Amino acid sequence: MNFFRTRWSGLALIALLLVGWEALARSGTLATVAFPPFSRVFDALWALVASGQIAGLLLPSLQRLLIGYLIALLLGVAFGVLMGYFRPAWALLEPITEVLRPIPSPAYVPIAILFLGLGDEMKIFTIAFSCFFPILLNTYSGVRAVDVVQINTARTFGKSAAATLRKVILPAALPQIFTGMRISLAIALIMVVISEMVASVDGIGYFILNAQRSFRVPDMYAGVITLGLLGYALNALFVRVERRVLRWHIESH
Amino acid sequence: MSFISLQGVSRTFGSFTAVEDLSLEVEKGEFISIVGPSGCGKSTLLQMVGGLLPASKGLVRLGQRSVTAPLREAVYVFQHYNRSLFPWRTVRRNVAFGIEDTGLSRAQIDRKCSEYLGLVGLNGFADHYPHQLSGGMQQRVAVARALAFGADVLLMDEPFGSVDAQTRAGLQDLVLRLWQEYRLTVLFVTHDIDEAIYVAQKVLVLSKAPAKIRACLANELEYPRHQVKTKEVPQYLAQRRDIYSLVFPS
Repeated sequence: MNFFRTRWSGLALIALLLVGWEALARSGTLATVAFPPFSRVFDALWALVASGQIAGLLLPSLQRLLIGYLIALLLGVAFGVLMGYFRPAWALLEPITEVLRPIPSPAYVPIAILFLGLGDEMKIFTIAFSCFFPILLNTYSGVRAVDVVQINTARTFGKSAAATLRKVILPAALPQIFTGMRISLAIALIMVVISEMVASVDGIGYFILNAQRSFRVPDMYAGVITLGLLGYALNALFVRVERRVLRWHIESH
Repeated sequence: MSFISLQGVSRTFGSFTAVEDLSLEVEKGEFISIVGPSGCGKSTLLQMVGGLLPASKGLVRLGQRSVTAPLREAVYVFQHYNRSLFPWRTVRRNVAFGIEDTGLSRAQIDRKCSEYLGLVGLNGFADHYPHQLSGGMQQRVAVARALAFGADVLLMDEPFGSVDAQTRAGLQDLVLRLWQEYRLTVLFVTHDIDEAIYVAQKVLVLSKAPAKIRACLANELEYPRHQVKTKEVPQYLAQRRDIYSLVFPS
């Protein structure tokens, strides 16, 4: 019975579904072109890995993702602190963020293409722009929620505004900043794929769409699975960093 | 000229007057406790002395300077030690908070932190995080942090209000010991009349808001004080009776 309380049951379910996929595809009840057996998808994936082609697929995507994400992180935290710390900055910028924020990120892509063309700039811009808002929002609400006792503690110990920001406000807001970063990481992955599907000559998004268009259906599925694995790996990395940086927070809650 | 002086100080919050036309002189080295009905403006008064809150009217002076912002000479010890300590800093780094950015080397800071942690009996807890300590220990960290800062004046705002009675007695004796050892000036806000008499040389009784001074009662009780013996002295009992009738007029 212990089996159903561990993660092994979950892994077994995945294995079972893959076996089902294989059996269903081989039985011929579904169109075989659109639905190859898993073994063929696995072969395609393995070929990508073995030939090293997978690195060439992932590197451009990862590069765009990371640059866009880091720009969003820097600007999101900077503006978030500004808006959380200085009331006039909040009054000035909050309405515009509320107007821009609800627009679904993919809608920016055509506009970005007009201004930035079809290259990396457009993709990095769309990623950065989409990731910016969750980080901004969480940073400024984190900064505004800093306990007044902590701020008064900094004051009674004679800290300057800069030292208070660095030693009290930023660390206090860090758990919420990380919440924003986590949301944005998922958005970054979505946006890199979308922007590469709309206009690109490389990257994992382009590979998937191109495989589908040229009827390399096992490759298409292999690309989708690769994306799943990539998302999993990025999230696992994020959680590791978060656990390290926020150890005090996780342990005290 | 007295060390701390409040002249005709008032503080309003909108239409609410917390403190009205209050004057007070405190000599260097005095231990004064401040009692009064809850919500009467005790903390407001203390925050004005600490420069955390500007006075709406009147003058607050500490040493030679008028207090408009927190001064180096006075440090505020908050009631909510669990909110005043920084959860992301270890005990040692919390104590270091006040003496960072003052030109001391890392080694000097560390040495000072160990010294003051020893003084409050927290040797061996330097690398703990605040949430790993009990409430009483956390408030001792806050006291060590205030002492390490080297201020002459401790402004204590119901510092032991949220610990159990036994811990509270220990903390009272700790503060008395440190007050004598470092010749501090202490303003001690409390809602506990017994605590007010036990620790202080003078008990300031405030009225309901807007706070005015109803009485300032000096006591001649000997130091070092004793949790049992001091509280059996007739003078202690008499003062306790007087203060009760002032705070809760029947």
